[in-house]
Amino acid sequence: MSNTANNEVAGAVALTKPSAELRWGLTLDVEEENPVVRLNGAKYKFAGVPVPLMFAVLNFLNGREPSDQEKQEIGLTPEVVSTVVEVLCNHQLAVDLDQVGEETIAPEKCVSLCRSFFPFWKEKLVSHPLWGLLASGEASQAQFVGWLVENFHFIEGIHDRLAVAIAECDNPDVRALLSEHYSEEHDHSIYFMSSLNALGYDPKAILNTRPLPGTRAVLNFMRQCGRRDSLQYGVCTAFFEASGGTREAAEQFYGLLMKPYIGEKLEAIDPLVEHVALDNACGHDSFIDDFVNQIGPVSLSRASAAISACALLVETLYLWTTDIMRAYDQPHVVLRNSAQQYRYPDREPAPL
Amino acid sequence: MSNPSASFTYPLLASQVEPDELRAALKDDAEQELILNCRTHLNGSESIDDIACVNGISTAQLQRPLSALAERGLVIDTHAMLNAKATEQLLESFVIESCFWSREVLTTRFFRRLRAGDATSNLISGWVIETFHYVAAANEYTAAAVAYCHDNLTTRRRLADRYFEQHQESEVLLKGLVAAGMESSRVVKSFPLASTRALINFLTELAITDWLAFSGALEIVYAVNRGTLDQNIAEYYEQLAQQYPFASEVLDSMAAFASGSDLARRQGGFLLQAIIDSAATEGSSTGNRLVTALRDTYEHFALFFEGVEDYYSEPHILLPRRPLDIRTEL
Repeated sequence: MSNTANNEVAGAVALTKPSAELRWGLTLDVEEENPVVRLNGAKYKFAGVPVPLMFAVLNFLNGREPSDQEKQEIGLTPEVVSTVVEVLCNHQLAVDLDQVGEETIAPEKCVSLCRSFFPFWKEKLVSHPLWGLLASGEASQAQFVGWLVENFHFIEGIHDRLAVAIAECDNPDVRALLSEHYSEEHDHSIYFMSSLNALGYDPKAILNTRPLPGTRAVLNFMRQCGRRDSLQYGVCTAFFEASGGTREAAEQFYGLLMKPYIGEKLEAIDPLVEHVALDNACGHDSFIDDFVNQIGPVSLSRASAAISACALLVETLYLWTTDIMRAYDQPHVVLRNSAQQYRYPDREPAPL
Repeated sequence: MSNPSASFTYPLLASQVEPDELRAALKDDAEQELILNCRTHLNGSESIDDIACVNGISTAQLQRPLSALAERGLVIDTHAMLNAKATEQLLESFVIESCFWSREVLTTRFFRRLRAGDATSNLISGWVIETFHYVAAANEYTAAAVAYCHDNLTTRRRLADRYFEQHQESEVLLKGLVAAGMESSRVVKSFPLASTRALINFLTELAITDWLAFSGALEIVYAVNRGTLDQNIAEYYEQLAQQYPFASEVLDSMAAFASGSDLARRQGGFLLQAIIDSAATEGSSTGNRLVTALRDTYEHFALFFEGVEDYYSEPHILLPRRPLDIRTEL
């Protein structure tokens, strides 16, 4: 590994950037004054390593060189960097990119990579505080109704996103897959509308609501993917369609909503359960295989861009949930159809 | 600030009104108390008659303090632009409303924290990184506005001028980040926050679908780029540099960027007015399109700054954010 240098600069030792790259999603934390690195659910404790030193090495690998003063204060020398990087590589927390020879990636490998990320990403989304608040009944009625309204806009937004992806696709086989998918899902927003109707909300009032910027963020993001590359759009869609065992959990979740939010209006829950069942029947779990196989082998940079887009989609979905939780943190149900303030006055955003 | 609506129909009070601001606008204690009592109803959706009725007072009693607050840009009538009969009236209402929504952005918790001296090094660096991304993305949204403006060559030329004014504005921010120790290529390829991407994609979609509304939304962009509505830019950033000496490189770059953007706005003039004058876009739908664009732009900026604060307040994050490179996962 080429990570040593010996140039003296103004009393501090210049560092040469190692060829190692940190794994994506790696985070640094501190436990009992020791640095702790987390990656994909695993935890690595670096007992005895000073936190500032570990933080400086990780930041250096990440593209931020410490100042000469910082280097001296924390004792960051080429030897120290080399040792820490070696440990990171040995634990597969960093990878030496000089050792990666491939230039293209086969469809099977691309699918397997996606499938390896999806469960962690699904877990991140279901860990959002809003789900806990809804399941326990601690969320307000306004947040519950807001969640239904924004889901209506999101599902209805298939016309915003999938139609763009079809129009921009230059591969007839891939376009056919997208078109088939569109024909299966184009009218699913009716389930959320039916639920809202059962709760007493007029369809016209719902249609006149302005979706939250978080909801539009998801739709606009998918439009951007559809314009840029079908592979980006396909991987993101595959993430939506991957069950990860969460559909059974979804039915259970809807059951929990009955007492605090639905009350006697039990018919409000039926369309939501029906929607889950319909999605299950469509069998979209294999969408990723069909889609990526149609495209065939692709360059590593194109595959990176597609999986990276999916990672950003996950963050966008998390942002969406946060936006629902905060925007509808109101004393009464608010349908966003005019100039209402985006956040309730004087209320600090709920922590994440 | 003048107010074209002699009387309010649907008043909206600013989210953040400091007690000093309220006292300065309303000398009378009873009027201050009245506004405080009514504040949840001053939401832009309830009519002034209904609000007065709920509080057991006459509409006229409420009009006076609202007009005084409007003079200071703390209240708008949400129907003023929608009810504008002539272009001049529409533009006057637009200026008032765009100032109001710009103020809403510049008084979000992020800016209050920044001014109070409570921001961390990561938070300031993160703010500049994310600003770099949305400013660099003029190559997406302003370019799109030019590309999708098919029906008026004069307007397209004006939008192209704005594009050339903006397309390299992010470089000064990049210099500041590099001076603070970040690798240039890493910053350029870094992973914007989802909320930043939301703002960029919103502006791009607006540019594609409605160049008139996009040109209106740019007024909020210019105001946010300044960083302060009422203070001199140099003084504002000098004050921040004194509060945050550890972030002097990035704050200097923000000051240079803000001054450049402000100068460009002053030299380029009021784009929306020029477009309306040349494109003869008068019509009942214009006010509606502009109102919607302004409010949507405000909300996306609010989300942007909330995103910056949520993410970069964490103490041990790595900057800049890496994109996913699958070579590390093979």
